[in-house]
Amino acid sequence: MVPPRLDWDRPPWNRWAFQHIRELLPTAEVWRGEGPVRELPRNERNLDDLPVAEGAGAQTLAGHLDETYTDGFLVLRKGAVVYERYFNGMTPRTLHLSQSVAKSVTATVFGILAGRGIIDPAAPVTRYLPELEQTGWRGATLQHVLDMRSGVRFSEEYANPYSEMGQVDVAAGWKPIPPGTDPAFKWPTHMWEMILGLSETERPHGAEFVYRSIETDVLAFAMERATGKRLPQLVSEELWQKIGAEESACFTVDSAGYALADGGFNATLRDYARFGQLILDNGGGVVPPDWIEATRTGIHGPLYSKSFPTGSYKNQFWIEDAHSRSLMCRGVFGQLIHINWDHQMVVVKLSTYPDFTNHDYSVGTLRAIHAIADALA
Amino acid sequence: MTAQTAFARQFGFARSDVTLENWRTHPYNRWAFQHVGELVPSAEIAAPTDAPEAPAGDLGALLGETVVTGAGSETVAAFFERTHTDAFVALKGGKVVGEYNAPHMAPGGRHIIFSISKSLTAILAGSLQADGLLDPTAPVTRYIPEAEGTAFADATVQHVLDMTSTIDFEELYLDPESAFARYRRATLWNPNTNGPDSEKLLSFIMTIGKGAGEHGEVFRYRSPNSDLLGVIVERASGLRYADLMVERLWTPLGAKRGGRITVDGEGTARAAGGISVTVRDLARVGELMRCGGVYEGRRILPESWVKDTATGGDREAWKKGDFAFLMPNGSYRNKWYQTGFEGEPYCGIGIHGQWLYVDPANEVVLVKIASQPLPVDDELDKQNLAFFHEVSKRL
Repeated sequence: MVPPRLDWDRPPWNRWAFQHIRELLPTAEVWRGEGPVRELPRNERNLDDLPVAEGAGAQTLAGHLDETYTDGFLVLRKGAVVYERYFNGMTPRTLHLSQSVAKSVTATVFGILAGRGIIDPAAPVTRYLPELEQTGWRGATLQHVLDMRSGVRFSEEYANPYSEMGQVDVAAGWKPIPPGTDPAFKWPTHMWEMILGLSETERPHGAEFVYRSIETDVLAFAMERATGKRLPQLVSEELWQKIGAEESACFTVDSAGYALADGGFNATLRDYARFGQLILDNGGGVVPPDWIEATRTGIHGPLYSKSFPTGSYKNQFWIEDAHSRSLMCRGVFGQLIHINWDHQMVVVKLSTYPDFTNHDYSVGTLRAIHAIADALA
Repeated sequence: MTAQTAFARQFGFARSDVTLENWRTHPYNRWAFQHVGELVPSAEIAAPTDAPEAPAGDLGALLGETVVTGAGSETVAAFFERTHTDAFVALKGGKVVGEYNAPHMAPGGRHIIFSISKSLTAILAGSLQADGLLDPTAPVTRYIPEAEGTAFADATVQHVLDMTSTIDFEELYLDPESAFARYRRATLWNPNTNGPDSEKLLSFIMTIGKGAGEHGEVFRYRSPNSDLLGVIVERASGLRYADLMVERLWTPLGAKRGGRITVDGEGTARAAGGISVTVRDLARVGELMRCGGVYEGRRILPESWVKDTATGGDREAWKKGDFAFLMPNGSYRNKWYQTGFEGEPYCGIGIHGQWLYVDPANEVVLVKIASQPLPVDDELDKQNLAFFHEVSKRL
């Protein structure tokens, strides 16, 4: 018995579902190619008992991982595996859903294509997608979309079935139409139709950062149009075949075959780490270094995230603070790739929180990552 | 939405043109049969590694040779094209003779094998039987208590294995209103809201009543038998279908690529037809059978089970059955077809032109996968059989 279709991403079902997305949803393969695996050297340290919080909430790393519903956790330092743990049945070969980490993966491919002159971040969205002239994206640039600064109205409210995010669940094929909803309501049948239906803006393009997942999907459609290739093929050719991935990855696809760029990506723990290492290596010859530098250069303030109040958001990555300029790929239910240049560290955490977000867990994980960095320094 | 994409250049239609309504029809099936997981949720049958397999050579001079299959004389290459072949591989004495891939087929890629899935499911049953975990003479209800009150209430597992149960169900592939259409929706192969109330595969099978006559008398090809067998092997082993396949076949065989099997809204595997594998891995299964249950020195199945499967069918039940026209001296045992041809070759067969042909006398294994426009095409079936019979002798 697999999880019920309406609730697969909720507790307790998500603990199984995030490791078995292919069994729940149609998926397109992101082929790893025929090249060799990039072996990760091992320089292991047992960090289980490392104190990561003190005082009343004193906690060890192992305790933190246990408390925060961790499925996989990996620390790379100077490219070597220092610490790697699996829980809840996950294995090194398991593909794990990473929710909005997909946004950073998609935008990294964008950076590669932009470096080749195939797509221009300064261009209006409508240069590549003229149909969006009829939508709220009229007049927005791809850079606005990359930074979640278009003015398009889109509610990211997860619990309301009629919110735009609720409609994405149906359009993406993630959920059936929720029972009990208005039978006259016209649900979008796939992601392109969803985008074409978003006609309103609520502020000038560029004025403000407002996190809206749909911007990533617009980005992906522009990339597909500019290249004539589907997103899973682009991620395969530009990243997964270049990083020495161990396993092919996959994207969920909707009824028309469009991959869910804003959150439908699944890969192994180690391959997420290889992706993080590529970013840490300033693109490793695959992503233009100036794209990485631009991604680390955001507008800080007013408030982007309560979990790291001096952070920013740029090119579909989170920046932890203006000083370290560490990058983060973050996804709901506890997905994180943390890339720290000062300590030459990449940390990946894959989890299945009971809730979409949990402030204490997120803050605790960042504190744990800093404690690990200090211990290894 | 796209103008001329890489996809459209390769296949002649856009990806967004392929839907759950049309994926098994021409021309969309030429792409869809290689990408079933993009349309139907699928469980992974993990290979020991994900390492890519070194490509086999091509078929060389064989492609230019002339064959006569009942539609006049033509080259092997022309026959492949006319019969909508996506890929073909031939083994002789366990060695790869060569491989053919159509221009739209990704070499080394997975392809759905439809009802050859049944033959693989039966292998799982044979393996469990060898370990005393499954008794084919036992009633179905020993493993599926809820089958009480259905067509299967007084059937044995062997009836299910041999398609000699009698059930009130017709394989009407093209009628959208039939019970068969409900069956297709339950498997998620056809559009299904997949909401909380939608019918699931096992609950659909449990609605089927008994047909005319008694179990064990007539070969009646009815796929729900095989899906039910998939549930039986799960219940007998305590493992889910894909995991059982990994344990009992994919790992011992050393399959080179992960397979897939489609699953329904509650995770029940489509054991009757939902497996996708590479032609090379499918040929390994054929070689295992040809060698009496041993592959590369490893005993995987009992020799007695393989012998029974290759030769033990009931010819009287077959003669009264659906497919006697195709193999007049044939029979069916444990979800494999015994052709009745000289040398007693036997095979697994799937709709739209899927074949796994094992010819022990000539030490040959042939795999031919296709995207024939029609699910069932009697004329092409006859021609394919004639082709295998002829090519096996020449190799």
